[in-house]
Amino acid sequence: MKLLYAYRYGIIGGVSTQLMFRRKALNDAGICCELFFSQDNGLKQVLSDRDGIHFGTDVIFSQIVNKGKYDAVVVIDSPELLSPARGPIYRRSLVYLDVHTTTNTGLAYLADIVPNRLAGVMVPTHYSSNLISRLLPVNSYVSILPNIIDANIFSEKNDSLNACVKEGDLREFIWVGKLDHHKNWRLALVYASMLREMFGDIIFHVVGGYTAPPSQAEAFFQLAYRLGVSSNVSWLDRAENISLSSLYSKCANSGGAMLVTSRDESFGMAAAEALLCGCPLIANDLPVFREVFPDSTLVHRVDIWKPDQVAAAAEALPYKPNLDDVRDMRAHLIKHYSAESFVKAFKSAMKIDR
Amino acid sequence: MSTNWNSYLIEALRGDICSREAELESIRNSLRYRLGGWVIEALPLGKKTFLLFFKLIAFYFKRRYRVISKTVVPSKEPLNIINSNAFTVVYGQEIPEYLQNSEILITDIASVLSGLLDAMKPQGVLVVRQLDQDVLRRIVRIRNNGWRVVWHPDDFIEYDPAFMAYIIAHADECIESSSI
Repeated sequence: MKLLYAYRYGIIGGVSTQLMFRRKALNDAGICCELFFSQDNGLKQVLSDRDGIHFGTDVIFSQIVNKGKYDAVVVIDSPELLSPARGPIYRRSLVYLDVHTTTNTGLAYLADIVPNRLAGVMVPTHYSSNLISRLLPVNSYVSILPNIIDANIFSEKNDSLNACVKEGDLREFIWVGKLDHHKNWRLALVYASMLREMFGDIIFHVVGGYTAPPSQAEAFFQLAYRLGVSSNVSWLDRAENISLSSLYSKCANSGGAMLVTSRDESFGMAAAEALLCGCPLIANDLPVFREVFPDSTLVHRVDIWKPDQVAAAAEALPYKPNLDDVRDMRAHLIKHYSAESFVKAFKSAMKIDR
Repeated sequence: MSTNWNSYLIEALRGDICSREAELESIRNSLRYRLGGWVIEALPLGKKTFLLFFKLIAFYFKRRYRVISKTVVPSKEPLNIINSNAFTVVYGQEIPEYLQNSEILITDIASVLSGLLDAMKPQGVLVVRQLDQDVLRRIVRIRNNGWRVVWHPDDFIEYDPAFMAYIIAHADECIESSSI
């Protein structure tokens, strides 16, 4: 089988990372999988192997589909690619829609798609399935294809977790996301200030925002200054997974945590990766997190608009996470979100090997 | 907790609202929105539909004329800077005295510096003499890649306090301005 995944944004983020994992998993399972991105927002630069990964305009996409003779094309949240994904009239490809967004704005395009032109719809979680089912015709079939997590790169650093962390050591926290309304970055800075007031000097890592427009970047520095945390906040606008894994471990080892202020999430890849590294979460109590993350001492669910709850969760953070809890969490995430789980669900959705 | 954090949350929400309003304004001013508005106003079919065609034709020639009336000659200078392997880069308008005899690059153009820093060049030294979000948002990343960042304010520039606070906290070395 030959498959093409297509997405608009070639940005170093959750969806593109997920596509890389899926591509590898499918290729390992004997299914040829290629990727296409309409835009390059920094992704091309970090790719070591670009064989089978295409970048270009809608016209280039049409040409790739026409020449590629794909059995199926899966389009992720990019409605402008749905029509060219069908290919030439004499050799139509099966077109699937994969929905990863959960915002009202992001989902608005579902009102305009023609469902009978799709071979199927896919989502990463039951939460997303329930969300979009209200927006699609009643008889639309939605398959759940779980995301894949990389438990090799994202793992606890045992020697560091065993190190003795004591009261008074500098705590480090981390927040990962774009500087946009959805991820609620301003709230993250407010809580950075609160955490500094609680624990004295801290380091608050902000990772992401590479494509943030200048106005947002300026607003970031102004707000950090207004809150008195310019020297505590460290903005890393983009990071490779190995660096991110290191940061999660550093935060875990320092008695810190990852803060999730998002208004909504379709899965929570960054949060899952943090947990794989043993880094506790102080997370907005989102429905999808109830589905993806089991109850654990590592997961502090809060109403992110209630500072008292966030403060209480921060106070409850251990100086180092319980190793048994870390291993249990890893085991759960690996079991449910492995490459094998994805390939199995993929084959079921595509009705392969029946 | 003595601090009223709820007031900061309200401030954060207000900031969000301002950003969203700015996005909305940008959408309203976009070409797609304006053209879409003309089409909607031209329906149902009538005199306005007829006038729409003239509007579109006038718009087409206006844009075409604007495009062909400018002759843009790309400067080779920024490309030379980006492709260079100089060890020391000064972001500002004046080279500090202690670097006068060194092989350095100097630029005060944000896009050029961004291109250089994003090109993942080998480790170097960045002497920052002017501040903007373009350079500040890259500071942590380049330091992680082995660059050394020196903050050396220019005597004749008045800096935004928010930007100054950040660079002072994150630079490897701060050289005091002679006017301080």
